Amino acid sequence: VTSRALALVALLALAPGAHAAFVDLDASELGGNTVDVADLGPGVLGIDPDFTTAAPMQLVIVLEPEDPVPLEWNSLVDNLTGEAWSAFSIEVSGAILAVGSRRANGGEIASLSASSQAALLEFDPLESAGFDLGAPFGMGANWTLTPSGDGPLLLRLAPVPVPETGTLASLGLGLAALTRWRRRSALS
Amino acid sequence: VARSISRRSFLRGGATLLAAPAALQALAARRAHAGRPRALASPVASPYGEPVLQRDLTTGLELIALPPDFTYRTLLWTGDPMSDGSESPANPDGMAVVQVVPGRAGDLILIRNHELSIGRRIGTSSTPIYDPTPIGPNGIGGGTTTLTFRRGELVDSQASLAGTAINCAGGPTPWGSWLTCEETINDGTVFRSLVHGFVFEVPAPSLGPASAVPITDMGLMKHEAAAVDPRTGFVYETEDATGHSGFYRFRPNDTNGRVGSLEAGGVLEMLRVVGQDGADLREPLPGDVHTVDWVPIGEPGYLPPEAEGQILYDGPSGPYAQGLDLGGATFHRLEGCWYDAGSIWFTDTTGGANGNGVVWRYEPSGDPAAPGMLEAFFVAESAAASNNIDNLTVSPRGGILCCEDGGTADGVRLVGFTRDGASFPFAINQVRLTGGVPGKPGIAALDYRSFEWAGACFDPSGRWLFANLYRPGITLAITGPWARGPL
Repeated sequence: VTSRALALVALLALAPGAHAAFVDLDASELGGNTVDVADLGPGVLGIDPDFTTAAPMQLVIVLEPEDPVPLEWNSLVDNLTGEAWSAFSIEVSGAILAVGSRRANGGEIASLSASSQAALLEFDPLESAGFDLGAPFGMGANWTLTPSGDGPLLLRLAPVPVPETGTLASLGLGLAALTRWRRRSALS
Repeated sequence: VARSISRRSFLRGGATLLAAPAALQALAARRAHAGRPRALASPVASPYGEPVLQRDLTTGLELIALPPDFTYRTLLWTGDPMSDGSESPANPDGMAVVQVVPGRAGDLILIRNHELSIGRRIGTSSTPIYDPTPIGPNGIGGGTTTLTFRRGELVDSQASLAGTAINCAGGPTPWGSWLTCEETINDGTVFRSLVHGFVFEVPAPSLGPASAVPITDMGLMKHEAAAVDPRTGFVYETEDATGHSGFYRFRPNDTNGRVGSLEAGGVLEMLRVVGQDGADLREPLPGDVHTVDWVPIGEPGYLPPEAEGQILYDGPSGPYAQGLDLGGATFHRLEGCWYDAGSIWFTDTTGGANGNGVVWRYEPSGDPAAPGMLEAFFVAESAAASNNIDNLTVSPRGGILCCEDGGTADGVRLVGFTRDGASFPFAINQVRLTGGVPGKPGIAALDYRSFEWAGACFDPSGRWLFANLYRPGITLAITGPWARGPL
């Protein structure tokens, strides 16, 4: 506990005046959600999205020539939607993604499938609180992005919510009604 | 004669007691509106779905039933080692999130009561202590512990007050502390100890250690719970004395709202029904509405002669007797108490004609000198509807949740309320440890399903519900798709 706290303090102490990449919030699309971005030191970003909706957010990350690569990042992802997530997808463009540590807060991470451009976290049990990526408290390994060209780095974060039982039932009834309507239309 | 006044909405939007991130304000704004008070013989179906037995993500044991898609983790069991080197005490009772630590992690600070009397003192030699009287090899064994919860896990635990007795419930303050209430009247003559039956303040660690000084002006009585109205700084108190409980208001001399301000004293008052001196409110009908005011308690620390030399005194307290003389109202056994959005909610655990419990709502008028409104929001007509509701909390979405204290053999429940005041089972105690628990030798092999829930409380974001299983003494964190229902 103490070592984690000290590690966090040490990381934050580096922040003033440190040089690092940044997230261009003007160019980003948040889908009605919010994000806090912290400069955690040279080449290390803290990206903390708060999802109040299930809409994805796409962040534009700007690197400068003197920035160390790969860019390290970690995240505290908060699920404030009041719904449960079955999965969470991470996609990148303009960079190669390398996964790091991850920890669910309220559920459990059942699987992680990843490529150089995307990662999918699947939760079982479902995740209703949020999860951590990388080493936000100094334990584990950060995720990294290695630029693959001269263009901007895009990071797309998207929760996969679970429809509640009532919604599923409504959807089922709707589909059944649609099927009946199509059959009747075809017969007539 | 009680007279009706206009009803206001059941739950309204408003600020939470604790600072929450701006993104969370939308949650608080999603409150629903008025419903009618209800008296029900049976609960309604849970809007979250029928609770089903689920495994604890910490131990893998199946301990409680929760609605589908909800999860939980146990944080501490009785006897578990805490960060300060002491053991987690037994009988965790009232609890609240008292602070969100500023910073990236947003650590949550919880303070728990431990309803213990004589026994091994909790904590270590550096734990603030009120009454150090030795009693044989033991001492006064109650007190509080403070937990730090970070993103789904417990990261710190410390004893924070020792040497108090029967710490039952209490309440959070808006300034980051916990008011812990002794549910006893003990003048100390039997054990040559200090007097017990007071309220103490325990701050979050960042605000300093507990002073361990009793707030004597809040009364010497079997305290249960306390709730602070952040608009006025007044503290509302419930009394748990069978058959003769009062509901009190404490107006502090120092209304600056900071740690220690209540210790500067104040005026204690007891609720009275206007035009109905000595009103008996032990068996209300659902929807009863009364206009109420307050009568002063001249000597809040007065000890009735009958209580002298007693250690299990359950007769009328000094404050109750004084209040009754001035026309104060009588409840049966008051328990949980919570402020939310301009109302103070409290429970009478054995109130109502069937003794299954009542949820009351008091709404101050806005002018401390003017009468307010008291309403019997819910009256249980059977144990199935709610079995002796005890601790009460209100979620950031404005939903009411109560802990049952009735000894239902097949599982005591956390009971939620729909927007129109009907009860539903949210969670069920299914702790059957007849084979013991590996790695926890202090946990007796028993069926614990009939023991009470306690200390239910939400974090300001509304994602986490914390609660205690009084026996064997487990603190849990529950999360899930809360938006599917009113909580």
